[in-house]
Amino acid sequence: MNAAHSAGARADRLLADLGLDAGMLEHFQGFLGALDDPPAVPVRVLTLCRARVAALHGLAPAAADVPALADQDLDALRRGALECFDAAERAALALVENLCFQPHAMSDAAVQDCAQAFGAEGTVGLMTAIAFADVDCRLRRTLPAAADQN
Amino acid sequence: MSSTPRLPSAVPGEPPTFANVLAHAPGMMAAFGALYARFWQQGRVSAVVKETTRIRNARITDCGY
Repeated sequence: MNAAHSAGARADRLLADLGLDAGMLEHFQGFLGALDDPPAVPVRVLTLCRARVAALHGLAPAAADVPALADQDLDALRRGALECFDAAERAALALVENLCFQPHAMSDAAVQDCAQAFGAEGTVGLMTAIAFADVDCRLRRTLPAAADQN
Repeated sequence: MSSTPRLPSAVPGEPPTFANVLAHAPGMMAAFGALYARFWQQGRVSAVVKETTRIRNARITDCGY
């Protein structure tokens, strides 16, 4: 993936705002970088999920994610119109709907649909990436410098 | 609430614990392990405060882990 579009690159200012020491910063960047490459998950699916997480938080998508999505994608994500996406994309986005604010409402069927589309490895990677996209948004809402990333 | 993951273990013969399920994504697992170790072993906030916060977070979010 293009480094300019990576979660690690997106998060640089955010992490700097946390005031982490150099070692912690390096490990945090390494982890966020790993989130950009979940096994068996297309980049588009990951980008859609991150943008939907942002929409659920009332935020614009991260600037680095916008060029990768069509205007109709962004509009559908803002409205939560998941029917505009294909079956695999809907399976991934269905996880997002619950994971941020109602994790216990996530159904077994939703997890199984995702596993059918992306396998266990893709589902694990996707859920981890979605969870930290949620963290990213919470920090963007909380930290002044991070808000500039919109 | 069940704390059993809804995905199988990536480690044959092992139960589907958090680590064994995360092992489906080995790159993420390695990076998370390095970050988590650093988080617990060093830093300005004491381990007692970190653990207290972790437990409180688990209570609030009804996390079985």
